Amino acid sequence: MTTRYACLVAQEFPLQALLRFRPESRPKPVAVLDGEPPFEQVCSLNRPALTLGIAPGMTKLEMEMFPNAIVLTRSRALESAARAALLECAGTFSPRVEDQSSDGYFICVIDITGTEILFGSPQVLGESLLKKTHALGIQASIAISSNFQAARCLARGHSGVLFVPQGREGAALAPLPLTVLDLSPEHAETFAMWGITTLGELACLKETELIARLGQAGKELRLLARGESPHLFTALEADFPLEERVELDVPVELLDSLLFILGVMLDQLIVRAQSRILALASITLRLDLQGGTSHSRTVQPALPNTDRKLWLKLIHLDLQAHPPQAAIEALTLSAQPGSTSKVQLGLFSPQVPEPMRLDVTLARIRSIVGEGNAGRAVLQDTHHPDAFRVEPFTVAFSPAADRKSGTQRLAMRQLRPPELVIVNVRNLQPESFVFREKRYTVERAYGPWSSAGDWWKPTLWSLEQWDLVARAHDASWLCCCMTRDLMQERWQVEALYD
Amino acid sequence: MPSAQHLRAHIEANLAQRIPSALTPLPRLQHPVAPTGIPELDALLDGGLPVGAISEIVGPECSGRTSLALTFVASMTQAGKVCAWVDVSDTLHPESAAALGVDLSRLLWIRCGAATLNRKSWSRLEQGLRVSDLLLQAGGFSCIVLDLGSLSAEYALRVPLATWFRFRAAAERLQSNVVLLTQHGCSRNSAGLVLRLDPGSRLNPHSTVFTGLHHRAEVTRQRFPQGDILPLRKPPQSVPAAQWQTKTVWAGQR
Repeated sequence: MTTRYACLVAQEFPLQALLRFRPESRPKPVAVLDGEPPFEQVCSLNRPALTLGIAPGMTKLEMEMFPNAIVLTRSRALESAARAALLECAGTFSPRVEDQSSDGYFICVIDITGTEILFGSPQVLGESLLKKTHALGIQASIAISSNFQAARCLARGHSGVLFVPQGREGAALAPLPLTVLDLSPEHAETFAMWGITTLGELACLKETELIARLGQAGKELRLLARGESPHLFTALEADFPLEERVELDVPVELLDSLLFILGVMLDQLIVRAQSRILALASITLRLDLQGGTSHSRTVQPALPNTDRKLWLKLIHLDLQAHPPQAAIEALTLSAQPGSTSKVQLGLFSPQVPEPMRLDVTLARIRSIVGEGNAGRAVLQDTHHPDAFRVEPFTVAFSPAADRKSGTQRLAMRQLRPPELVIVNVRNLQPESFVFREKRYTVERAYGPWSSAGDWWKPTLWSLEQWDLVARAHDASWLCCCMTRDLMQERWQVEALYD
Repeated sequence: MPSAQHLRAHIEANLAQRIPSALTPLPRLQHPVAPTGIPELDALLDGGLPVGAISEIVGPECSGRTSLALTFVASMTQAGKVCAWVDVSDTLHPESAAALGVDLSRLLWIRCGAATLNRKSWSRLEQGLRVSDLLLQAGGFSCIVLDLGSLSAEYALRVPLATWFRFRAAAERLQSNVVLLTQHGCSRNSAGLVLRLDPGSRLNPHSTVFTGLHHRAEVTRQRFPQGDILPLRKPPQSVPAAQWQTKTVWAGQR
């Protein structure tokens, strides 16, 4: 299949964007000024203005010499709106569109390979595209070629629709002036000195001679002039805003009432995401409250999904845990799209919690035990006591690490906070202590080991750590890790060996 | 004269319409088990803790309940399974768990009463039971440890028996291991296995550092004894106990 590119060029784009909504001004001389006052200059003008004697680069003061001319100020907002409209129009012919716009020009190249069955021959497609751009109020030119750069140059050099069959790009480009190549001032000056004015003259130059004088840029310019320059097509990916907003007639205070509206809004978001084979990865809910304040919450489950009930439950649980402080006047729901990921489980892999159901369960558990108290522990690379953090729990589908060892290890039960004990000391060693209203006699004391010191102060070690094996009168047994705070002279049971 | 085997076959054939296999011992349903990771205990329990049942590990403080439960969780997580630890007293030491071989990324840790100012035992116990209920409803967890090890009998024994019955039914339906760490047995008839751990003794009394403990466990209830055939006669009884030892991380391999 022959690759084909259609290039759509709108010249004097700042002017055309302004005249889209002023069709009555088109036959009159119009110039657009750009720049910081008082140094505005003419950046774009139409043919009547050119005939009147106005030239690009004229200042505002010079423009006062032409009282019949309409002078407008450049509007970037209108330009971006016109650009979006043109790109949307181009997108109706092919999903692969590359935006090549530069200052003052709108240029987009459409990959129309294989669209003959849908839109007819390239000439018919070009005329159809031109008709649609005229309907948008933009005058444009279209060139269709099998070479990307050739189509781009031809569209800038011709008006109307031009189709160049494969292999004839060089001949079609030959009469065009060098200005269609966007030459740098140095190259333009060099070619002017050489007397080269058209692409055909440039294409006839020897490649080695050109490289010897201009370097690799010379080779690239020659390929462009011959219509043989390669190009990697980078298709434009349009933004996909997923947002819904509802303003309430009466302020709502009850969450349950809000859920009815949320359900309808979620339906809309899910339908829009599903139409592009996407799912919702996260949802941000912004509530505009009475008094001018707002309340924002973001809900993000483990996997992107389109389950309405699940989203509604997660938002409900989140709002229950973090309720708004005033009645709600308006709500905005914005979502981040994500790919509809599927996890393929093995026949012999162990059962794991279903991610969607686990999200709801974890949200419920968090509402019972508090935020940050349900998750997976992650150890930190430090010697501080209790050096861990709790991260949100997600099901790990990676293979488990095999860490089998032959020795059985002893675990500790950390007391949070440490419990104060009364200790009798003899010969600098604990002899007996009272813990949880029971007296224990120490059978064996291991230690002390100094801790809580600073390496830059070798004399300051404020904690002594002891491992004690003790027995009570009723033969009950205790094996604990005890610390002695030398600064405050107190003993604490930090952990039990169990 | 017909042999006893021939006679038995003849009687069974005649009674087949009324009593199928009248004189043949019934084959016992093999209940699946999960190894604990402690060979001595696995030998005592004929393979490990019963799957789809409540296993209650009873013992005083420092008897080795936490080490046993964490070793079991380590063997489960190393097999790629997902576990949950409902920590009613917020006493889990993650560094110990990691040292015992627990894959912490596969362990959901729920710290009851850690954030709130209300650290009363009743509140924490209620949170723990509600969380366990939710986990059993969600499914997918191969092992759920409900750690009531620091609660005295005053609290643990007041949990309604209906709660343990509900947990047992859910565990059976989901084929999950529910491990209960307590100081006094509280799940009664709902438990599939009750292991009683006795206070141990310290290893190597002459060492200069604390190196570990000896543990002793006794089976006081086993609802699913292993064996292919239900014996007609009661087999000779032995003391169902096992002993093993655990070492501190700094004690080394020997």
